[in-house]
Amino acid sequence: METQRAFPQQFARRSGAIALYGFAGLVAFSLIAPLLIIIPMSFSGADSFAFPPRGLSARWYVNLFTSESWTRGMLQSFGIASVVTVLSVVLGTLAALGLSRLKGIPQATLSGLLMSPMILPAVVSGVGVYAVFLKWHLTASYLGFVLAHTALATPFVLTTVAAALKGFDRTLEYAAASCGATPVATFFHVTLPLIRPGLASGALFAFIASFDEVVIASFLGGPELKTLPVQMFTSVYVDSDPTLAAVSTVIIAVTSLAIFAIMRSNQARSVGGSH
Amino acid sequence: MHLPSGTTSPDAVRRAGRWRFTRTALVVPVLLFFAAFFLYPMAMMVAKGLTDTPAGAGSWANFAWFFDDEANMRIYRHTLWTALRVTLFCVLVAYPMAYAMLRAKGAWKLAILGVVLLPFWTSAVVRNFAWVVILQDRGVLNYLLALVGIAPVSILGTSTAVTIGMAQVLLPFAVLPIYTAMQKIDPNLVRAALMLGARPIVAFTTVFLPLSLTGVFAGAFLVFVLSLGFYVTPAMLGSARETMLPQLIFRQIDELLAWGHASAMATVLLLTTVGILVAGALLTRTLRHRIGGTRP
Amino acid sequence: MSLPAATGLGAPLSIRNLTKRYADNPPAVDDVSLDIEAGEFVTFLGPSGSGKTTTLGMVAGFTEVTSGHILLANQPIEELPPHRRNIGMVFQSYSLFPHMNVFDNVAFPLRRRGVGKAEIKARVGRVLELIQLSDKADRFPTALSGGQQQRVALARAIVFEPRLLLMDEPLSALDKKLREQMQLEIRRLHKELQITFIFVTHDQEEALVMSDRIAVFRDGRLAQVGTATDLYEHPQSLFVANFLGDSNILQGEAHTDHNAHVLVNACGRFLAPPTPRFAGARAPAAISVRPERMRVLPITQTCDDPNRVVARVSQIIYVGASRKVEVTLPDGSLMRVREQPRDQVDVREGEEVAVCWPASASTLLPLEQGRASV
Repeated sequence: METQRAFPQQFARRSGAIALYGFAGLVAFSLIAPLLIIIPMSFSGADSFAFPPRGLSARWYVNLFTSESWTRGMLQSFGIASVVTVLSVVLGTLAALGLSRLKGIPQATLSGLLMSPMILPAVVSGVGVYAVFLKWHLTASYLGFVLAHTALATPFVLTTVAAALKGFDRTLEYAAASCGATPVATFFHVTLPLIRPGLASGALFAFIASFDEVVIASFLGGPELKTLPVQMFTSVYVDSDPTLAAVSTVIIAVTSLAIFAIMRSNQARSVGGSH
Repeated sequence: MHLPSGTTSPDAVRRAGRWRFTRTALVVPVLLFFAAFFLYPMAMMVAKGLTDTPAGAGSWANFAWFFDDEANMRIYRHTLWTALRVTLFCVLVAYPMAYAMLRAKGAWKLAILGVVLLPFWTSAVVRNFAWVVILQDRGVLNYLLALVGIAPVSILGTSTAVTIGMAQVLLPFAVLPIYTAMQKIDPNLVRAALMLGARPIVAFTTVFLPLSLTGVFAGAFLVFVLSLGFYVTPAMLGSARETMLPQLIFRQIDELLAWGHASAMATVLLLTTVGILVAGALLTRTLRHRIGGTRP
Repeated sequence: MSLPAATGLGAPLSIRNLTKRYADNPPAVDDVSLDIEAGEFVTFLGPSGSGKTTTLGMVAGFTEVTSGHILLANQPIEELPPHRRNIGMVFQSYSLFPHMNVFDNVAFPLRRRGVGKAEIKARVGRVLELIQLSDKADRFPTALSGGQQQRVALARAIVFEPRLLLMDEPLSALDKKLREQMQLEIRRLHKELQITFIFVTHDQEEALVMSDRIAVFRDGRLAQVGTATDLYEHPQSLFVANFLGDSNILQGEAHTDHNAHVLVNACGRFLAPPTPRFAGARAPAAISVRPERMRVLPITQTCDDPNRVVARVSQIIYVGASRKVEVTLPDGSLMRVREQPRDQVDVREGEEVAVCWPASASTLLPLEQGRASV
């Protein structure tokens, strides 16, 4: 397991190590820095995106939370993402359970199929979904959004839950059966508690996937149904004030908190299980 | 419900019946959902490309329109070209990152992983907006350059900006497969090379690098395929010259309601994606068979 | 302190013509039949791949039966799903639920049966006292040692008062001292509970220590079933003779002479008591002799017993109080003699000696096709 100790010392010559970790640090910085830039921008006193921000003001936040279109967008996105999360966790877990006993070609084909929304371009399914939902009168409706986004979000749950199931000791299910637990009872009392971290991470990914989704939201939305990302997307071209930065900061903050919370809860679970 | 200690009623045995609990059946509702809200729409889209044609024209009219139009083809080529550029950039950056992750211990390993995955978790619009702020003419980059006395550069709207934006989010898709492949390499192989007299650099290039190639290829194909679908990044960071196929498709529907054209283009994009995925999977599998070297 | 005697106590188990086949492969379990009495402690013994674990799996319900019947208390159970069979099981890796503490693990089967909270508390408490872990009730499995985990697994398997308890190599992960302790623990438990136990192991010493009867498995079939003494003193095949305890094997041609069998080979002429397994006419056969039934004597000394062979001492191994003398016979084969201090004669390595044993210590065994010494 400890591969780093296995590689000989010659590899980790001083200069080599410095260069390697230096590079990693640089890349890490350039990945994080852009997001951090937004935070000071959101407090800019000026009415533009110019950097460095002049003056300090919280008015963009005020603008954000008092503006009807922005708050409506946030609520809609949040609402849709929540429902999508619940649905995709159920579907994703069912799929992971179903696929866990399969092997070979059937398994590869079915998982490939169910994972495809993650890999295929959103535009491709977007065109199809838009065309079909027009026929079914599901455009500009919450239901349509939920259905389309669930198909997109389920693969994320499937991935994490399948990984959790892989590390799950099947003998525990036998032990439960020998104690008299029906397959359903075994799932809820033994399997589920132990794969819960996988479900939690999957739920997080599913939520983010739906919350941030732009392409299908653009297709399926309507004048009354403009989710937050669509709102933000148009805001870049239409407005030119840092309200967008304020929205972004809020999103970054909330996402970070959610990730932190899930990680802490998963951590606590793996350390001996304080129920 | 349970066998009472001592007796089994014949009824209980009969009621239990064949208990072969087919867990696999759980997949069925999910497949049905997918069939209805994902597969059927895509099938409809492909059909539309073939059926939504001007009166009198054949089924392939939309496809002909796409391939005959030079402007369309330029965008298609540009999409492929950008994907290639992004892939190369990602792989070059991801390889050392994966290696650093391999060598790092404990918390540092997780830290690198977390950083690499970070853009994955942040909204596309937010990310690209950040790049806009940095790369715009009066942005952070030019501000910093000015501090050092360098003339301002105009990156926003160029392919460089698009590449950077796309690479940021696609990096984890390159790092993870490469890391996984590296992890599987038996450390004794490199040791053996050194004992046999190879200098560290040579041992690396002749032993470690080839064995990590399956990961590199897996990551490269994944990044390439994902690049083809990008919409928000080229829209926000690119210019008219940098238009990619997804934007074109969107415009055909949103502005022109040209369903036939849009569907045909989407079908082409779909087939390109699937084709490259399949090619990549086959290539990676052949590589994996030819190259062993995994830890015992 | 013991559990209140359950009504009915142990249940008899009857395995009839049980077969398990995977795809087109030769059967993993091939037409096995065995009758186990209520309250008996039976061990399934055999090398890996012999079918003992697969048979156990079919009794438990985790492995599908290809053909045959399993009757628990005279009721067929082979169609019943495992969670309806009311059979206790202890697994090789304990399989304690890591997310539950000791109390909840042991209470689990009672909860699945809808037992009331107060009764659960009482019954779990009693069982924990039985295995001497009452003070660890709120600990989690990771905080327990291997031996403690094993005891909790046992407790969980018996708390719902099953009439049959299955154990799948439960002690193989423990170190020697702990193993021996647990073997005695399990035997004590068996005496207290008086229910039927089926114990699977590949360790023949373990089988000899713990069982009322041993069923020896080989390549999916039963090689022999009997008490420890039966199997040890009167093995019916070379396989069983070699598998249980040490055995010295002499091969040659045998025939019947009055009331005894005579085996002849290059090293001499040896007598064995009559056995129905050997038909009268001349045929290749083997004689099995246990090391502790032989004696090493100086070559000049005469032997009271009819079986005597001349050999050269190749090694003397001291095993605590007793010693093992390894000798090489004229035809190159090896024998080992195990002697207690009072029987030991002063011999040196390289010396020529005589090895003697009584006729009753020989067991004549048929020679298997192409497999002389398995």
